[in-house]
Amino acid sequence: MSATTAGLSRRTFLAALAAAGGTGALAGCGGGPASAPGTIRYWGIAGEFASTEAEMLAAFAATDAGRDVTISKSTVPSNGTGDATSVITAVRGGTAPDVWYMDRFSAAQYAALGLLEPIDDMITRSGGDVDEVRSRYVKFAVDELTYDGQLYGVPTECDTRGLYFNKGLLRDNGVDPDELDPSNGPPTLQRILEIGDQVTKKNARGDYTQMGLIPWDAEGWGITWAMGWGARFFDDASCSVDLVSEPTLKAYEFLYDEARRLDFPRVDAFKATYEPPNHPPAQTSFYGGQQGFIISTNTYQQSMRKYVPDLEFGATYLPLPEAGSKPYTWSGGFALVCPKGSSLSREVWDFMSFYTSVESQSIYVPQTFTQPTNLELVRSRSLPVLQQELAFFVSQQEFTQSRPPIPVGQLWWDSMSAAQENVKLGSRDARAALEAAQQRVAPQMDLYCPFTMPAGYGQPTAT
Amino acid sequence: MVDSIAPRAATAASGAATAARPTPPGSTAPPGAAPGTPPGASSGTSQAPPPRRRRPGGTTLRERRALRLGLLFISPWIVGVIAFVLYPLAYSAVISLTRYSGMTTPVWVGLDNYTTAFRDPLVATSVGNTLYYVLLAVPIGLVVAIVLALAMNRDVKEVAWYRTALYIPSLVPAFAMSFIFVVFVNPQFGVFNQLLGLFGGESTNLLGGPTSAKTVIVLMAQLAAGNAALIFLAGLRNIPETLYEAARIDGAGKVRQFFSITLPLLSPVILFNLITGISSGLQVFTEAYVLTNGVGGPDNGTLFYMLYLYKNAFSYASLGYASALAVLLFAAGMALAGLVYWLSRRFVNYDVAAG
Repeated sequence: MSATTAGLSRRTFLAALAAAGGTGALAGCGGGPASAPGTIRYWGIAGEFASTEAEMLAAFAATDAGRDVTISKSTVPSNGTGDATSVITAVRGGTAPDVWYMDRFSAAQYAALGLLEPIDDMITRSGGDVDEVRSRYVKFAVDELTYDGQLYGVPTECDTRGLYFNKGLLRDNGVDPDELDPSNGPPTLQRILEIGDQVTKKNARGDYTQMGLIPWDAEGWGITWAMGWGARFFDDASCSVDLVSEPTLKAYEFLYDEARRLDFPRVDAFKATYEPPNHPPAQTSFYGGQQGFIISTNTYQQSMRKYVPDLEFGATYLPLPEAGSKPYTWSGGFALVCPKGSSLSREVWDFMSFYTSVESQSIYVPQTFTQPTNLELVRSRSLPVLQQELAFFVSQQEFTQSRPPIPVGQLWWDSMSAAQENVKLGSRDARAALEAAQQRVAPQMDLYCPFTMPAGYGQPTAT
Repeated sequence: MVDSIAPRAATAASGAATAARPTPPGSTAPPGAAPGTPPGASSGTSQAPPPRRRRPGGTTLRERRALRLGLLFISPWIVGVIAFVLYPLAYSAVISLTRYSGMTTPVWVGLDNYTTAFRDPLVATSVGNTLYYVLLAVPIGLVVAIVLALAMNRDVKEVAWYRTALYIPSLVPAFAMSFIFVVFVNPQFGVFNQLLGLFGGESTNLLGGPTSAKTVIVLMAQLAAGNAALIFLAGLRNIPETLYEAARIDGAGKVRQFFSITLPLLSPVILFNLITGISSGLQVFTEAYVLTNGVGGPDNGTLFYMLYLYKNAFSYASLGYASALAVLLFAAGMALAGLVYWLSRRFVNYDVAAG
């Protein structure tokens, strides 16, 4: 056998293999195919409401604008709020969708990073008017999608916080639930805590077996309470976050004091018993009748109807920290946006426009118990669900606000949550915890100055 | 690395040297083929034909051809290392000197990211959490793995079943294991609190305290001890039975045999498992990510270094800062491995050839 020929052929083979491997790897990193004309690549709703969305897509296909458009939908699992791993990877790899359904709280941040495309030009090119588009939707939702004066998406739905109560549990413990009917106006925080103490029970080992309001539970974020005391978290004039203001401080002091009064480790054991981490959706202490109050959003009703259809509940305003202060709450929700690399075609705009139309939201709202963002629908309340189950929550749109749409939104959120953990566990008092948050967020915010909030942020929508 | 764990200790050093210099396939005796020979005498050089023509570089034509051929043979691996190890390593080192969101043009900031890392209180917190984890999980893991390996090494008929049963938990992905473990630590129904209750302890949420949550994750890591146990088992099988027979004749009991024969002859394997354990311990991520939904709570108690790095990269899109953190972790991991390796020269026993 000739060693040389064998070596050469082997060498050639290996070289070819290496070359093939190399080009393969390179091709994998290269730009993906752009959308074929008439096709929209869409990262949409996964899970329970995928079928609801399918109805909306079918309705779009039946319109003149949607007749010749193919929607190629993928459901990409979300890694959680503020974690854009999948879309960052897709944008970098050149395979980003044309339209992405995402939690709009992160929109300002992603816009600031350059992850999203502004849609103003696309609207104009498609013969639309940006101001008219903005006026279609509730203001706080559009605010969240505004960065540096440009629009970055359209809001698809919204959720608003309220105080749910278990009527049966209250009645069994000598409280008349009618007292909490929203027609009586917002309850005071003091009264809710009184009722809470009245329904609280412990077993022989001293473990809680029934509780009233756990102030930090579910949507009872520190920032929720801070809004109750009237906090604003950003100051346009100085272009800086203000996380140690008087109202915020009062809210976090309240959480600190309650955590000591209720004995946080015992409350935590109560929650972990009846509602352990990663619990199945039907297993919560409120559904189980162990907890009298919970602060949650309107969509909570949908899951209650599904998992505990017999539970007799009511919903009212968030409790007022000081008697006579104004009612308050905040709203979030989702949006359709265009990641970098989107075709920004006329079809894309037609799709986004239809998706947030009265017709489309009329399919979505009754099935999901979300609130509409389309002002026409909000004003007319032309769906039965808006006049009944969601009536109270829709009425809150008169005064609700969004979280501050700042370019460091996720860091702000994480820092405020960390401060909440500090006061809950008692590892820091309210002032020290909030000062730590301020120190974390302020320097990062400085990088984006000058910056101003959307005009009229925090002011109510005229409904 | 692989050579250093081979219990055929005598050739470890020379074997490593051989591996570093590719030789023609077939002409090299496999490392360890000549037990007992002094280092340097056992490798292929002694068996290679005498050099025919010396080049100025000190290599013969044949050797150079062999080198080329050898490189070609491992070229798929070289491509892999360049594309997936060296390139990302260099890339992140460069990115770590910039402010970069992944979308817009990187802005050069010099060493700013590094100075920030040393001042960032959350880096300090996450380093503390990670060290807590490593200092507990790695030694405990070694003990558990050795015990498992001893159990897998019993001379009974059903040993295959025992091995399977003891290894099965290691096959469950950490992701799924995290979900399962939550049930064990339920304050009222979980095994741990039931035990605590027997001694009059009150129900506590072990995942609710910063320190206890970390400890839960340390315990959880032990369910994956089967992998290290398999390597220990291989080490145990390589210890010659004759040594134990001699010890028994000399009157040594089981305990004395373990500490005087088993443990010293297992020391190269312990070193290997120690270094890989430290390396993977520094990168602990999954359990905390699953248990806390990526938050690292309570009170940043499970915010491990990798989790904080991940959050910086993908929640705050500070890829430059995250890369700087990654480079620091790499440096720390290398330094620790080097330190352990250096310390190990006093404790690791390569003297007795076992085979």
